[in-house]
Amino acid sequence: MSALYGYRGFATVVDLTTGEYRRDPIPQQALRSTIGGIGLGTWLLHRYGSPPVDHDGDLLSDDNRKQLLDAALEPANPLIFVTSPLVGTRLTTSSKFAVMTRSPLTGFIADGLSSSHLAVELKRACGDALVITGRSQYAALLHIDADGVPRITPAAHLMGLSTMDTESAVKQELDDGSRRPVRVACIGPAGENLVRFASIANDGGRQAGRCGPGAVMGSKHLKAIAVRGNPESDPPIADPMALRAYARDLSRRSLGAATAKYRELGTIANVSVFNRLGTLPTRNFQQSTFEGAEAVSGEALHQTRATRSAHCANCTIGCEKIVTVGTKDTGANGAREVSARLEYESLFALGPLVGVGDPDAVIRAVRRCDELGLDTISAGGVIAWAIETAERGLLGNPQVADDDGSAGRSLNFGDGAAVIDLLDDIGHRRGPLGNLLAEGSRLAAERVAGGSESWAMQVKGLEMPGYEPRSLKTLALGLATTPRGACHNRTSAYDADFSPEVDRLAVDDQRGKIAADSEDFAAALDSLIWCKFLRRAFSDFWEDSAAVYRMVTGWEDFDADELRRAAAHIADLKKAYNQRWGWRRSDDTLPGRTLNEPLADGVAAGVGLTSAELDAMIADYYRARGWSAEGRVDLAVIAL
Amino acid sequence: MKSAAPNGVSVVVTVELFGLARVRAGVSSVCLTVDAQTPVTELLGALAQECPDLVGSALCLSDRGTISVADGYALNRNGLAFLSPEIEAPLDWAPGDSLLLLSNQAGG
Ligand code: SF4
Repeated sequence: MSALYGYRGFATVVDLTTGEYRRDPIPQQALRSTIGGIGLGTWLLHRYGSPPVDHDGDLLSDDNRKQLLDAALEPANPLIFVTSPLVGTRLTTSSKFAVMTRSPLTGFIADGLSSSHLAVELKRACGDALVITGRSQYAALLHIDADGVPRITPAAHLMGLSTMDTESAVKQELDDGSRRPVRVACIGPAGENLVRFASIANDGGRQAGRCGPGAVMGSKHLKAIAVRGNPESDPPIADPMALRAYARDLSRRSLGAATAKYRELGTIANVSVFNRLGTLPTRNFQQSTFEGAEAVSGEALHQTRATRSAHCANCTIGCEKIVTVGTKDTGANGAREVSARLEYESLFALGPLVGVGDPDAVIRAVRRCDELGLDTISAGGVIAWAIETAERGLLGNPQVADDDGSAGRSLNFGDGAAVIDLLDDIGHRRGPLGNLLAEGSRLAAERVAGGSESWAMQVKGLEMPGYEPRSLKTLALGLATTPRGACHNRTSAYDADFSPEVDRLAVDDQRGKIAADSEDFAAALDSLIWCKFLRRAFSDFWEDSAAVYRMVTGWEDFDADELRRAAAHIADLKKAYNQRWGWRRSDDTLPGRTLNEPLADGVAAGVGLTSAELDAMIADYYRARGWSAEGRVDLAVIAL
Repeated sequence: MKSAAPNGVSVVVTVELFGLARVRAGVSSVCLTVDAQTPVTELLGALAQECPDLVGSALCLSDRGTISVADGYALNRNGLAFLSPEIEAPLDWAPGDSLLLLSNQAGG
């Protein structure tokens, strides 16, 4: 076997039930064909998390959906942390890891990303991946230090703590006086309580948020993992000189015009634009513009609130905006000072989507989600569903418990305080309403019925992000077909809609190819792993990335074409994983509201999207992917 | 403020500024009186006169002295169609039309 550069070549597998661990080799061909991050993570999911039998479609029926979702919370479902060949290099934005599991919210693939020095420590201590299986008999902390030996210790004293407090407590406990702290990933109360959209947090509130990996971690009774590797374990780089020169140049380009929006205003700048373009989902997607948008716009927040930039580990761009509200003096009428990492998706979900136009209330709600370890998009989505359902009289007289647990307020759009109280109810599964909404909007709507399924704004169970699909037709296709569910990150199809390339309000036969290409592009980004906000800083993404991969791995014959093939292969692998867990053609769709109601307001008022139009785009997409007309991939791809 | 009215039929076009363009200019929109057949580059030239702080950030001055949108920015007409930055032909402007100047990065 030739020397391995850029990779460790193995995964550490820990069984929390037995406390045993081992190191499993990962074949070089698997590394090369799936790159790392989400690509390699998908391969590992097939290896460690396949269904008991190789089903090809008959696993899922409406009757057993809940059973299959619950099975994701069983010990057999692996929770996998995956690094990439770029982790540990000086390349900007590359200190990222993927979190892979089967989602208790969707029943399908859950592939999250987060940024942290934890990525570097994981690679040093655990190899290319850390695979966690089984279930501890007690609340546990998994600690892996420089010797690479996993230690499972009791963590009862951490239970109930917020994500931030958990991280601080673990760092303090494991502080050995050296200059290198342990890096921590943990869950908050939401993960402990198996909220189906609980996130895994790191670095003071950054979240691997979507699809509920925090619930899977909670189901394993694992409160936190803490890792500190040995720097001498860093794998060698094939051409360190060339890589250093490239890294310097990329850092310089990362500070150019292509990232100016992210550096200066952050993604919250989307609010005013999306509002103007009629693509800002408001009040549970009943509207596509929000009358309070200006007050919560990025431009206004920068003027009216204390805002500073923050950087992920090893990032030159620093798109994160930390916004502070309230005062240190909480006496008299002073409101408690709170800071939150604010980005567009959180702002949209806990603002316009629930009709809240008070920026302070939004910021406090975002902070509360981060403390509880809740995905902000799903939290806002399920609350928006609940408010509309309550307004239509289908929830009886729902009461949101106040902070002190006393019966409190009713549910209305625009009530920021009620949203914050409801987040607490959800995070703790408190009361019938909190417990219902902790299931996510699909299961909640199935339980409540009465037509509420059609305004449960989710795909495959995952709540929709802050892009109105009726006025962004290419993205509509991406949201319908992406294996993860309604996710804007695993497809970057909106890029076409926000360009002269297509008519974003109309449907045509080009969208299948555009959506497939954009998904491949995202797969390459997420597997190498680059931050997507760097994407326009490359002169030629595919050529540049292939060159970097050669510098790191030394595989001299790896070129842009092979990277493209790897990206398409990753898309196949994801689809195959879902198929093995019962994916059906009917899972690739959009919510009833999207397909039956034209937009009510904004520049695109009157524009809709019919089932026939969506089906035609989906057929084009399957063709572009080389899948069957029914959207099935040949499961032989798993063996490739 | 309005720019000098050009020849032919005049219309008022509102240039709406978003994101950094709004921050740099210090206003969210500018009304420009222009010829109904004005090419986008000329409209941007009028905008540059009204909001000189945009030159070097959202707008750039070419060697030929014409104004275009800078890297990282996009143009959209009336909140509907995105315009190609290279467009040089005159557009038919109607009263009440808007030109949006915004980031070309939509991700969030
Ligand atoms: S650009 Fe933003 S999200 Fe990306 S790595 Fe940097 S700070 Fe993190």
